[in-house]
Amino acid sequence: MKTDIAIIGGGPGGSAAAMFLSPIGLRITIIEKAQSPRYHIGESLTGECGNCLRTLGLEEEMTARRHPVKYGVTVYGPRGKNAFWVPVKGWHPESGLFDTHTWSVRRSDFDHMLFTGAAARGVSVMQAEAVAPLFNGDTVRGVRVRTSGGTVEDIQSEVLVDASGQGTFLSNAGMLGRKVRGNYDRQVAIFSQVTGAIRDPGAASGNTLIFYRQKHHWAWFIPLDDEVTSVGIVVPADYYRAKNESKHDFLMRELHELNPELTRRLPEIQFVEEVRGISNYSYRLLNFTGKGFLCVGDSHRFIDPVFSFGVFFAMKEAEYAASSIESFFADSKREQPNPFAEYERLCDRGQDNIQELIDAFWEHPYAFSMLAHHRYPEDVIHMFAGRVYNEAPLPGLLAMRAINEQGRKNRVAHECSGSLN
Amino acid sequence: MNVQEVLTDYIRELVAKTGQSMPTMDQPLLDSAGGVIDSMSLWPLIVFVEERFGIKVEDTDIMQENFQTLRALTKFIESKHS
Repeated sequence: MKTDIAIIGGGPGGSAAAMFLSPIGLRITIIEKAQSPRYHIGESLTGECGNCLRTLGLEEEMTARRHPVKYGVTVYGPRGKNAFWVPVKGWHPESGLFDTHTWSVRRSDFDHMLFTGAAARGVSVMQAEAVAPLFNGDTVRGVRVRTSGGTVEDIQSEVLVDASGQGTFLSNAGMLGRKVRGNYDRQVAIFSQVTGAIRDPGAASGNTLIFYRQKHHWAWFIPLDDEVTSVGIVVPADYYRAKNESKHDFLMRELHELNPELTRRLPEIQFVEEVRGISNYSYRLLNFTGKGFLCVGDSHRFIDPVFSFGVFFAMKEAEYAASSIESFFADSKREQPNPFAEYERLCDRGQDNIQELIDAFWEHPYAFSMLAHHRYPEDVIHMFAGRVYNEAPLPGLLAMRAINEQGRKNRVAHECSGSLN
Repeated sequence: MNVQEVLTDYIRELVAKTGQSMPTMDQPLLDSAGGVIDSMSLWPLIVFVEERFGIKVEDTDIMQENFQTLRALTKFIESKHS
């Protein structure tokens, strides 16, 4: 079979890439191995992710489907006090920041909406598992797939988009560069969904809450509908192992103990979903574009789940990928060594900037708090929203970079003096 | 008053409000280590230090190392003067 663009994965990255590409009239095929809808974690969307949905014309549908409206994130300090509020704000080049909202979503519903939405816009969808990339010399020219019935088929493509998420299809096939462990790869997340959680009153009821215990030990609280709230605990893997509890008991105990404000909000815990866990989930793959292929979202990098950037990166990179692929098809010569190099630089810039934000948040909580509240509040709002692709870095970002750099120097100096004594 | 005395007075006033005990020169100041300064009271302290001593606390100066004890903070301010 022949298609112009083959997309591996029908999650938000793959479906959004297909939807962004659909107006240009090319043949697009999504290859998804799972039945949609399917369960997925990562339920809170950033402000700019909300804008991706608006760009795709999906705001009305998001409202009609009653996804909880998110006006911001509250981060509670260790003793349940000193709440730190990050509003979702839009930005206009002339008038500056303005109030807006995004959403939190039950991923099975949301991903299914995007997946069926792509199909409704003329994208072909195929339930099959990607087996191996196909080549013509050093150029990727498609993908071999196996259908659920066991039939093997070759799909020829001009461009192959890897949106396989943490399955990292092209990396597993040896197509990408080195895998670099992320800064947060020794962590475990244990999570489920509950009813009866106490939310903020009124319009604020859909907001995301984060409860901080100590470095790398925190909880999320994300409304999924009127009744159900997603709750999860992230801890160092060593801490989880030392507890020697079942996932269920671990989650139950942590939800009670982690933070007094969380305890207050969960007077009775009724899990309405299986208790699940994932581990070692921070990584980065180098060289994720090349002749005939590019990666979006988790298929090349995942940083840390603390500020809801997972779906955002998938969808924003899908938007940039679509524009880059459109230019590729518009160029009749196609002689560049890597037609998607610029796209890769853009993705790296965005992800590197978020990495600085999250490093500063974890490593330098006091300095971070001073920057966020007093010295660069607007820049920090931009970064949390996902406005991180500007060529000229924001002063607040430069400050975080300098602080992280200073911290690394201090640690090295400390270790050196330690070894001399 | 020298730097150390000014800072000690400032912290003494703060603990009088919170009811905590006065830290020695080497006991922790920051709440992550059990001290009196949390992310809310750190900013007024920075503003006070800047105004009282006429120095600029740079973004990269707001490291835990510089604020962890009265001794560390005194040393940091003196180093800015010299």
